[in-house]
Amino acid sequence: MTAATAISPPNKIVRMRRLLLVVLTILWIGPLAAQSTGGLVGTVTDAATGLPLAGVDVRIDEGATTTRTNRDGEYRFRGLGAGLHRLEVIWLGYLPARRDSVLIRSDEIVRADVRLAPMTVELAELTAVGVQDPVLDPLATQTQQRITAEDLRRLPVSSLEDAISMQAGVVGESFRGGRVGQQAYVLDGLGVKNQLDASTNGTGIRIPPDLITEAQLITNGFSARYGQALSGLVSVTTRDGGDSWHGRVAYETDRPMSGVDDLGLDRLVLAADGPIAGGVTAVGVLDLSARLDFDAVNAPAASDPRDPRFATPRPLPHNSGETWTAAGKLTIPIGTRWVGRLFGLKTTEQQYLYDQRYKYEPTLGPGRVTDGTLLSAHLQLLPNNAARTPLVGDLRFGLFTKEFSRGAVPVPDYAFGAFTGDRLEIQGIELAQAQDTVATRGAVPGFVPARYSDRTPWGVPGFFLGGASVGDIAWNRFREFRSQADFSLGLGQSADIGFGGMLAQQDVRTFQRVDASRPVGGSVPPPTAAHFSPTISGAYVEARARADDLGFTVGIRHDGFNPGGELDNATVGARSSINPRAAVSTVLKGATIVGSVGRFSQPPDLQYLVDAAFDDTTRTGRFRQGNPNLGFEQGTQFELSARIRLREVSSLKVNVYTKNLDGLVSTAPIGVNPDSSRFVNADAGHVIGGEFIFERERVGGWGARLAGVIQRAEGTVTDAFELNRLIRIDPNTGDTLAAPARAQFPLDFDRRLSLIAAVDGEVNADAGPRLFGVRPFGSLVGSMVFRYGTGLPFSRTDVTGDSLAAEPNGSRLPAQWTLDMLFRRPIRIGGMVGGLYLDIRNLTNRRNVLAVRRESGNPHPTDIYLEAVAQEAYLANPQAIPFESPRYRRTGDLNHDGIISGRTELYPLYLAAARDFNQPIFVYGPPRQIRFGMELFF
Amino acid sequence: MTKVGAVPTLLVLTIAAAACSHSESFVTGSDQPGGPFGNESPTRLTYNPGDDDFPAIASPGLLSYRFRRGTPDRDFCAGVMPATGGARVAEVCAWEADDAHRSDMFGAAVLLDDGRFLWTRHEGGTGNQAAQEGGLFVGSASAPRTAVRLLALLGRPVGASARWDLLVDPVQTGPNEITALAAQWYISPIVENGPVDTVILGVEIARIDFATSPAVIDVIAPAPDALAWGRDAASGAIYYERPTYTTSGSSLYVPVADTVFRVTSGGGQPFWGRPDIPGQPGGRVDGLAVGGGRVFVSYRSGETLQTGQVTSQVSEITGGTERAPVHTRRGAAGRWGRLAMSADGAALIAESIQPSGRDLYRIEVAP
Repeated sequence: MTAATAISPPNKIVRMRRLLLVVLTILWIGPLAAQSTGGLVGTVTDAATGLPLAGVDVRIDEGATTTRTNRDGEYRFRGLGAGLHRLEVIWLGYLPARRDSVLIRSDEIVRADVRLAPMTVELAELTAVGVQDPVLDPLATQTQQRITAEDLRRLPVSSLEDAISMQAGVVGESFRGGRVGQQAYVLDGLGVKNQLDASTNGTGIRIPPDLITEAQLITNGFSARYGQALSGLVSVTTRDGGDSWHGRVAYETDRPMSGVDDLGLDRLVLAADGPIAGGVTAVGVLDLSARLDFDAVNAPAASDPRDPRFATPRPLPHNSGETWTAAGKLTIPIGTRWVGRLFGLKTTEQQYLYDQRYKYEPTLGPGRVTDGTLLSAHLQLLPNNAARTPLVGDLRFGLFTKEFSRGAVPVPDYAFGAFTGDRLEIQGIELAQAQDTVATRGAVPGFVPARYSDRTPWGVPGFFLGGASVGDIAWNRFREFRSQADFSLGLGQSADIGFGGMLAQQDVRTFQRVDASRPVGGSVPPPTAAHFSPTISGAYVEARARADDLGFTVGIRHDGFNPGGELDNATVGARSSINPRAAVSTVLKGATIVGSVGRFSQPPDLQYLVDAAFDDTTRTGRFRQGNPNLGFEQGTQFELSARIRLREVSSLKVNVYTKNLDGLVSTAPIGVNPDSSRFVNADAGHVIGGEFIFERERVGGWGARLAGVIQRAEGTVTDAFELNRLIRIDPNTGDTLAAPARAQFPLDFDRRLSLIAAVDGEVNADAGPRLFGVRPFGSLVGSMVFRYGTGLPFSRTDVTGDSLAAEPNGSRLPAQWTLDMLFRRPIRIGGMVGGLYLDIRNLTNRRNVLAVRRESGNPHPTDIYLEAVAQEAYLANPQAIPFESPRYRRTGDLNHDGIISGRTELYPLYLAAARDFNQPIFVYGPPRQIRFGMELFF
Repeated sequence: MTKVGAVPTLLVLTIAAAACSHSESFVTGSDQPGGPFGNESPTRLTYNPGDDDFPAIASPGLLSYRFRRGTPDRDFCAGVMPATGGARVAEVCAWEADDAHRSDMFGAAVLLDDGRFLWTRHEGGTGNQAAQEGGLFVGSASAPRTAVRLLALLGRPVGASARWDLLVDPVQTGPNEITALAAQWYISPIVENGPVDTVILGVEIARIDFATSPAVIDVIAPAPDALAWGRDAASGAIYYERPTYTTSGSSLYVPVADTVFRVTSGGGQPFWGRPDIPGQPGGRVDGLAVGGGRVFVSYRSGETLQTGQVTSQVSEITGGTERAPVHTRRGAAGRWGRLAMSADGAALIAESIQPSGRDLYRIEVAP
């Protein structure tokens, strides 16, 4: 939804909205040139004659930037920071024309035509400057959806990820049907990607919403400036500090709720910005959140009254997590045309994991810690817009580190809610960081084998573990130093050429040790470690031009990738990829039509270059052999889109696209053993779809958005770890049957239809009844978001799980939908503004099924499966359980003789334990989540 | 926008919200079962189909004992349970992956006041009756592999007068101290050409200070050939029972007399001697228990291969004189074996030895 436009409500409301607008403008929109820039073009004409005026002075922000019109009356500004700007046109003999709030968006060119009225002719000032409708801007050839700071406040979202997930074409972290990891992040123009394991993990950094001016989701036709992505870009623009100190402090919690609606949330946000000295400004944000049930799910209660989840289905024990994010930025003006920026962001997310194996051992849950750190420096050359060929330059350096560790941890010592104030210490992390594969071949000191828990309601030694936590140590660190230079050169009033390049020097370290309580050998695989230093590079040139109502963008990008020489078969050389992109757009009868084609490349996840153990290696010994010789994953996209201005405040965008993916990483068998395999660039896929986005801008106190996607996404493999051919096992002989021909089938994120509807609005200050001198509903701001998506595909297997029972991804999960709401009640305190808010996610407590068991087709296992595993567990430990054993359960002693013995008494307990152990939990979506928030602006 | 004194309002709301506590997740833990028994006395405490033996009140209210868990390698585990019955609160069994290839015997368990767990462990090849390694360990019952060995057994520790094979009925006598009967064992036939059994031959009663490792040994009194011992927690008085065997060097270890001694500064003073059960000459003392100022013994009539034919009784000894038996068994009911006594002298824990195996019983004794 776009920003609010001026309206004419009663004076009181006008005052209130102006105050809010001022606050929001100060807080979220940088007053100076921001690091993400856009442009402003237009024509100055004589309002009386309609003739163009040459040599007219056009000024931005009180003369901070100026230019003059050419002989055709045209002017153009480049390198304007995203945000609101003041446009002013003054010419002798004419009344001055001004527009206070021209909204410049990053990577967009806004058109503002000015009609100057001669002194002798009376024209209203506001009508003298007509800003062109951005919906119809023919120079905007990218398919992008914007998330503004105001959206982040008005909608029921608490993170950028929440906001992105409600954009058209997004399913989790999959964009337009692609695999996870086919996207990249751009933070203030600097590319950020977790190149190590983007397909299975995120970047590790969380950008606080309080730091964001605007974010864009670009799903096609993105500029040649960007690489490392096939399916989408998320470009985030952070704000600069203001010229006076302001801030916000907020606390939100679900403590007032009780029972299953109290998930243990506490969140504290502190944001401030302002000047320091000499024009230097600063922004700082601290965003701390913690929850006792970190990734709460709406799983049904257990069916057995002896199961503690029968009475208390949630919150889950030992499932806490906390996220600490601190970010800061300094903006340093250097002269009149240079600006320097220093940025730092660190996120630590740690979780004490709920592990069903340790359900009854609340002190033995494993832990996970992820650190993401980004430090960047940005030197920006602002253009001399008066020059014939103004140059915009950006030189950026970034140091990005993501470190991940997982393993046994001590029980968190909670200080407040789920906040510990301490870092979870992963057992054996020092050995992992030292990548010591020699010392860790033996049983690692301090690790103890787990044994079957005796604290379960069933008593029997099976399924649930106790005695010791997991014996695994997993650690990896991805570090990247990126240098990036981008330039844009203005060629006259209607053309620009952009060029630049980047070089990222990476350092990857990994370590994995499975079952560290036992020495290597037998079922215990040796520890694995890798250390190598890949390099990726990119260079591009791109031209953007406009001729009347035609806009052209043509670019070409060269991507390079060198895996480095440290890996085993060391002589692998660099590889490169040429990626041309082009788009053309025109305005036809109130609609802008854009056609685009582009080729995109991304280096493979670096995790595929090294050996990988996955699944339960102690059970299956399943490994994938790394392949340092992997090349680029590539895609070619075609898109035709139409942007239509339906009415003054409403617009419609329709996009039709197709995308061919090739060279995606997948697994190929080595020989005949399906578990001996290697990563290769062998997967292909195809996505075809259409989107529509209807928007009703926020005018008259309310706005709305309706987006829908119809698409089909197919490929030969849905996950790089899967084998790229269909595995079938002959039920009679047990042999693997011959693989069929290479065929495409629905990808994991092939959501055929999705709809997102969002509406928000506010009521007048005088609305509603007055209670105790207060109108509780006055000035209330509310929003509602409804999301619907048809079911994602999954593969049916037989009861053993080894053999497909139908075509891969030939079955579908049930449809999912949620309804979220947010209510915010501003409160004014003298010169300060505060507020209360109520944020409700999944209002109806809809139980969405995110996954099912492949053998049953629903979240619950079949009785046949349960009986099989119960029988197996019973036969493994058929010994009697006497009264004095901690495993004795009176309810299992059917003949009350003081001993549970024999199949008659023991098997029912094993069956109950099997049912408990296999009850579905994390296959459901989040439950209703209600949070109360309080905030104060200062 | 409404002026409602929002700063205090927000402050109050924030504090109020933060002051609410979060809801609790579900509570895990085993249900504590009621006993499968009624009010009969003696009360059966163990239902393990394998043997349960060597009862000791190593720390107040807790009964430590040894039990066989029924694995093919015939391992023994050491456990601690409430002296009134119920689920074990600590236990230690063999944990290594290759444990099935050898026999492990855990015993002499003590759950220390500070939560540490102390035990002895002997290891030997499966089917081999002689242990090849033995030691005294302290650690955690939940992580026995990380335990520290305090003392090597099957040898003569520094401070000991002879080889120590095992520790019998240890009790905690200090923060880092236990007192136990140190003994040797011999594998011997019960009767000529009969099945073999382990004969315990006491060496000495000693304090073991394990503040450091190796532990420091302080011998309190010699107790040659002693079978059992007891310490009265209130008075500190120590007693031990010593059989007198037929002839020196006999491999049958058949006692001709059994005597309970009270330890004095000069050594051991005879306190009580086992009489023959009328009409059933011979026999032996199987157990000795001391507590609450009281001394109890269990003894039986002449040894036969048929356990069910002996008469066995538990009696209190007062001033060197046996009082009327508190419990007598005969024939198929089995016999009483080793004894332990609660610190207040109100209850005995007794091995019940029957053809089907050994179990522990609690016998309430009148004041």
